Amino acid sequence: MMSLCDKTAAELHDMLMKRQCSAKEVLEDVVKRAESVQRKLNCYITYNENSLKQAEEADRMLAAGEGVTMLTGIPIAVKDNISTKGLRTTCASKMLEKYIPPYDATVIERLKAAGAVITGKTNMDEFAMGSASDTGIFGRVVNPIKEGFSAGGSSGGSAAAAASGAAVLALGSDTGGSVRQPASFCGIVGFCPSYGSVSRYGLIAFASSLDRIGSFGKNVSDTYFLHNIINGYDAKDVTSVRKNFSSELKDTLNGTRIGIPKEIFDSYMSEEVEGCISNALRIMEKSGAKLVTVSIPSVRDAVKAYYIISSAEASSNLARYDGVRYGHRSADASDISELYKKSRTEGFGVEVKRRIMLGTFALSEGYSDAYYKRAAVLRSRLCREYDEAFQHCDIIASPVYPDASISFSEPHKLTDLYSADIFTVPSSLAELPAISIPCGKSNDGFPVGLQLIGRKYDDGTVFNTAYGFELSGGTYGQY
Amino acid sequence: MDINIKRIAELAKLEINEDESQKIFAEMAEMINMVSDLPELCNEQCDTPGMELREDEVCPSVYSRDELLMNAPETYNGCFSVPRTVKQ
Repeated sequence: MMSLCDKTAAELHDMLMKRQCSAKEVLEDVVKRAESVQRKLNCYITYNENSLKQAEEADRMLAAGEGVTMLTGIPIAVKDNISTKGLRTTCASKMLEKYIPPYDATVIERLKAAGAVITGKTNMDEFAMGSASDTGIFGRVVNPIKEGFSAGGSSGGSAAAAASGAAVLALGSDTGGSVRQPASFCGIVGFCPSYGSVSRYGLIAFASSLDRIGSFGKNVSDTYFLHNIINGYDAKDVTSVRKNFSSELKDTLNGTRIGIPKEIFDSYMSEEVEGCISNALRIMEKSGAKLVTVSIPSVRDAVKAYYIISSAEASSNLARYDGVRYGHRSADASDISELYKKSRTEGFGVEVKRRIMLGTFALSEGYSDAYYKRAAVLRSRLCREYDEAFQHCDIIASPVYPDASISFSEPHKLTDLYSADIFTVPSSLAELPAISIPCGKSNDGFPVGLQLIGRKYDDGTVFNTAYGFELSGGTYGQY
Repeated sequence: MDINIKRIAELAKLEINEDESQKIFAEMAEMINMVSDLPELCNEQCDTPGMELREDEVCPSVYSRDELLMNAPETYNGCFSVPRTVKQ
């Protein structure tokens, strides 16, 4: 019999409503699985000691029939850069190793109000900077499919947890692909919403104009249930938008125009990835979608613009870590200037320092016109090109990552790792909603994700198209 | 490419020792080389719309002083404490 922890949120919701199991039993099964895979996968940084109380509260809600939602009693893992009141939030950094937030992020408030059960905080790249979940101080996150390979990053812990039954659903953050890429590597669904549709209040900032909180689930509907609870206007986030995003999930492949950006498909991707994506496009076409070639020339330069803009914003955002109000403080500083420098030098890891240095350079006197301003102009041009492309299509299809996996044993050149973000960063810069959905697997058995990108604020069409694909030929349930 | 690592580190408030300096220089050069050939877009403008800001109203804090000081590495008399900033 299938364990409770391997079931979808929809199946568990149904069972909870019929009293076939309790929220406490579901949590106990998930915790048991989490503990049994922790040594191998390293998904979690901190478990939530209050999870049992939350499950008991969910059982009370279910018994009374009050305020019950799709997430009531569902165990959800949370990336460790999302603030949780009273529960350590480290960003996988020595800088925040002992940090306990005095408040909940808006998404956490919404989960709690919905009766969800928070299992714990998941492992990640330090301050979400990386694509293999291997830059944090708590060690790397291993892919549930095979040892020696990355779960992807930066939200690798959340993806691996949701894929392995160590959580039923999970929250991650996506600045340049950090939800979509680990979802692809772990064979689950990962959704990155339109910028502004989910409040960033309480998300520890990396690059504020790009950061978004995204949802992981085993399939499209589970991911949709989670997103539907966390999205909505929030006065505490100045970039939050007043739009109603909720819609009913519909299979709408028939007649949907799927844009194929020629510059993306001219870029390097492994034969295996290309084969899976081509197959997925054929399935969608057979189900009534129309494939249309579109052109977005600036995607070729998007990675460059992304690394300039994200590093520039990171260098500014991370200036707050000075060893005074919170975070690591050096023990051997004799004056205030030394306190700042030593605390930051000791508290940040190598990758974070690299990006702070690059961002500081790109914003420094004499260089900001050549770097930051050019990147910002390219971003505007890219947005206009997407607008033009969406005149001819409803959804844009693309791979998520050029390869099906990242091996921990192979050395990777820094800029090659950065350049491999080519398929995810363009829509990040353009603030568009995008989803990664399993569409096949490599010869070695690694899942491959198909990315579907929608118009800004048209998150509903992204979900509907992904749902249509999942029903007609997705690979949900095969891993 | 003229990259003054010491100056950038000073601006970023990071310490770079002599042993690390060459490695960081090489990495910076690699990164800057990757991002430097952005197309010339001199006639184009950046058309990012401004943010709609809420009124800047003073309201009571929902957090107590103790909660806000809870994560401070060092406090003194209910305040953040830092090394002496003026010479005696």
